[in-house]
Amino acid sequence: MLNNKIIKKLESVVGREYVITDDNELIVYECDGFTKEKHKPEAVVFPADTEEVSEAVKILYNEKIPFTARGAGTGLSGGCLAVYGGVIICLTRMNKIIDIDFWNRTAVVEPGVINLLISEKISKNGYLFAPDPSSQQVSTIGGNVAANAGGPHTLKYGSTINHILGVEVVLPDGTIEQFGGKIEDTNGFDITGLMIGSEGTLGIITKIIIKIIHLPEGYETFLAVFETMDDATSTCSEIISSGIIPTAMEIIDDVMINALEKAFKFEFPKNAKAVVVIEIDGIKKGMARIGEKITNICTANNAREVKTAKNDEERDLLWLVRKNAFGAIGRIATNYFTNDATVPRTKLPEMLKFINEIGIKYSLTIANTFHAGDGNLHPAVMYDETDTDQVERAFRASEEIMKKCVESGGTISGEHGIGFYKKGFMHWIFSEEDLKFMKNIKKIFDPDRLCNPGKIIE
Amino acid sequence: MVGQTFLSDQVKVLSENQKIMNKGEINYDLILGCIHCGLCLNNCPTYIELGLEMDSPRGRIYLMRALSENRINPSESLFRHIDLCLECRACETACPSGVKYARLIEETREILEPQKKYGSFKKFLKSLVYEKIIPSQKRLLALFWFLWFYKKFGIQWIVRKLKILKLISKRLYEAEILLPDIPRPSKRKLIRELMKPTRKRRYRVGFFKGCIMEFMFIDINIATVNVLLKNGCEVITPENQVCCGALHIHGAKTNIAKELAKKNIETFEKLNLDAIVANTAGCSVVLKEYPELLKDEIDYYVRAEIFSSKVKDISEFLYEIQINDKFSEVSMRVAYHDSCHLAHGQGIIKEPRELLKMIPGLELIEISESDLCCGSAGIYNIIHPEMAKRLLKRKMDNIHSTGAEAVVCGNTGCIIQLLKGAQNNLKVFHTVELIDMAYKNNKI
Ligand code: SF4
Ligand code: SF4
Repeated sequence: MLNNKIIKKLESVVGREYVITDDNELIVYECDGFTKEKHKPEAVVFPADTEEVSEAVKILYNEKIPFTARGAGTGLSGGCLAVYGGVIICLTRMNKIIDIDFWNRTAVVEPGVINLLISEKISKNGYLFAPDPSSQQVSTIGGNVAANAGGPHTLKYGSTINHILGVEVVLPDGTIEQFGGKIEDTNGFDITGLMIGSEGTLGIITKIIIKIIHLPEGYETFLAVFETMDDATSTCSEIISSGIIPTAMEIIDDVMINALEKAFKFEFPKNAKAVVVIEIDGIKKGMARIGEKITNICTANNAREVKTAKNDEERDLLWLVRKNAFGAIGRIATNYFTNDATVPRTKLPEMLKFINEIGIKYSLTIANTFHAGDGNLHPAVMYDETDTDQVERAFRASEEIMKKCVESGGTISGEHGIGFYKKGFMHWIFSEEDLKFMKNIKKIFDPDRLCNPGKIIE
Repeated sequence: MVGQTFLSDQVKVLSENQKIMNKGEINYDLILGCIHCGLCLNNCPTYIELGLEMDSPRGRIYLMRALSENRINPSESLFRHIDLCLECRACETACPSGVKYARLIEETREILEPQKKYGSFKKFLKSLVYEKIIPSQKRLLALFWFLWFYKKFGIQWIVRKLKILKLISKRLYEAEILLPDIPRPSKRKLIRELMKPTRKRRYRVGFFKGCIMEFMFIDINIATVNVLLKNGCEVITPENQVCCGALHIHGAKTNIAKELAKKNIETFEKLNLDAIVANTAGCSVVLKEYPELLKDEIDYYVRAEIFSSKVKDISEFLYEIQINDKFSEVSMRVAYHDSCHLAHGQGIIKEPRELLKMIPGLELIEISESDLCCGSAGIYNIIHPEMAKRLLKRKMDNIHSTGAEAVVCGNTGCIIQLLKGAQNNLKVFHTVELIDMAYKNNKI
């Protein structure tokens, strides 16, 4: 239990105004983007730098009080819930871009930096930080690293893990360690790789060395409109098997189109069953040819219409609409669960039919917006949380979809992480031995189970 | 006949119910509209500055919900976070789910207001300003004559030297510093009730002059009328119009706001107007929302709809009627600041920019975070000087770093605030002043 003495100690580390213990204030930290479960912490502290994180963690470690790191709180798996109470260490104050090194194409950032701000800052020099989760306008890089976040453009550029060179971590006992560095170092164990995607269960990331890349010379963005979902998904498969690797390939279904139309008045074509956003980037020369090929494949698969973004403005608007898709669900429902289960691309048509059936079975509305290029689904199951029966049904529907994905050779998460929500499903994809092995690794870092306990494998 | 009575009885019951609901609760359905996605966080000035969930739109809505569900009780900390909101509505612009945040915060404040404990002096001051002075044109006029004397005849100098106000109240002291130079109040007579364009009349327009604008920035009002006349508008500025009620809505005094709204509707509806034009975004946004404010007043709701459908911000109006572009050159590098109540409250972003770009010689500069609140927010800068100062500094850094000669915006509160922060001879204009200048061939 957190007592006054410990709170005083924490206050002496981060400053009085940066420790929150008032019940009325703590309540807002009881959940993140996953609202089904609520766990109120006993305190929230806001450290200003690595040393403060380390000192605070040492205090908590000695007193055996659990602690959980949090960024913007936009996660969709309940990864930063204080499941066992204790203290939330919120990193929003650590939001400095410490160093940008254009020559070596790296940057050093604190975990509280907002993802999009990095690209905004370096774009005038012709650079970009490639991972672009849809929440990038608010989510922090620390959270992105912890969840190994993806995004539409992972199709070509890979997820967060492909863009991280090193991390500085405060381990669960408070010691500060640095793994990796400014150059790709393949010697020794890849602890950086272990840290990425560990969802804050092995330590708290306090600095991140990221790769930045050159902005491509040009983009070409298409919007293809389909009468059936089948046509849309087979188009995506055919594009990939033809040897083209688009930067992004996203499908939005009619339910989501409806919500987005209400939110943005984008004027999507009427009565479409699905639209596909396809983007290619690279050297301008030759792009027209690839574009033509894509258009042909779309038409051959019965696309009703293929539009091209005429300028940056149109492209930006299209992406704005796509990236705000989940945020727009409030237009048609009060709550939703989404999971990010993934299947081999060729199984997409089958899975979407299944999702449709599940919707009917549980009489719930399900919207689909997903990264078709890498088979990463995002069925948003809508419900009304004031109706307990509906909540249960929604939960079961989402679970069944995930299960089916696993049976089809897929997995339960493509980019959101396991967190609290999906830990019960880990045994679908891992054997008892696998899980035990992971638990052993966790034990090496955190023998007392203080660091973000109750997540992933616990 | 019987049927009719029955119906009107029902309407009455309905509206009574609504009244009770409006008094006692925050609209729960609106709260549920928030799906807790957090996409609004980084548009919120207080969250950007503090990084605290309680001072973010999502966090505040969460607090409202907890309050409605009796999971928390009103407390000092709750008041603090609800009060620190600038009501800039940047969250409404950001929210893909279309959460009606402004309505929620207004309802919440209204409910919390009676539970707050004010000192008797503050209480007295609040009721004096909200209930006695602002609603009355005569008293406002008297106040501004007083302020004019105060500035003009060295009283200010004495008061500042002796730090008299600091002894009474720190807030009052801070507010006094904000006081810009005040034009002689009689200058307002230059705008007559009916003014006719020299050329053919295209529109008949009512001018909503705004109480602060009229006394502090009469020149902007004069410029507005000039520009309207140049565009073939017959301008009617009714003498008995009153404050729009914005300050009362933000200050949890909705009842007074409703009375003011009714008065304005009565005044303007008789005039057979094509449009009602306001040049202060903080006013036009409220005027446009009269139907919402009067939704349970059977006698006024429909009239409010008609009234509000005619309300236009000056830049919106000029853009829509395709402004007369016989401009002369105004050579100036001008930064544009998006006033919250224009950009977020009314979605007017493109219009003023397009108008300004038409002026030859004028170079329009985009600043970073141009739609982030400057900290003015009605009387926010008086009540929360600390946050207001932080936001002003941020805004001024963004403006000054562009090397602009002037900054232009469309709202009185912003102008007062920006004047306070302006350094190195940075000038502050209302959009309409630059347009007026372009008509006059007034080279600076
Ligand atoms: S107010 Fe809108 S953007 Fe903000 S959390 Fe709620 S739904 Fe999301
Ligand atoms: S109105 Fe402005 S200050 Fe208030 S919550 Fe919304 S964005 Fe933040």
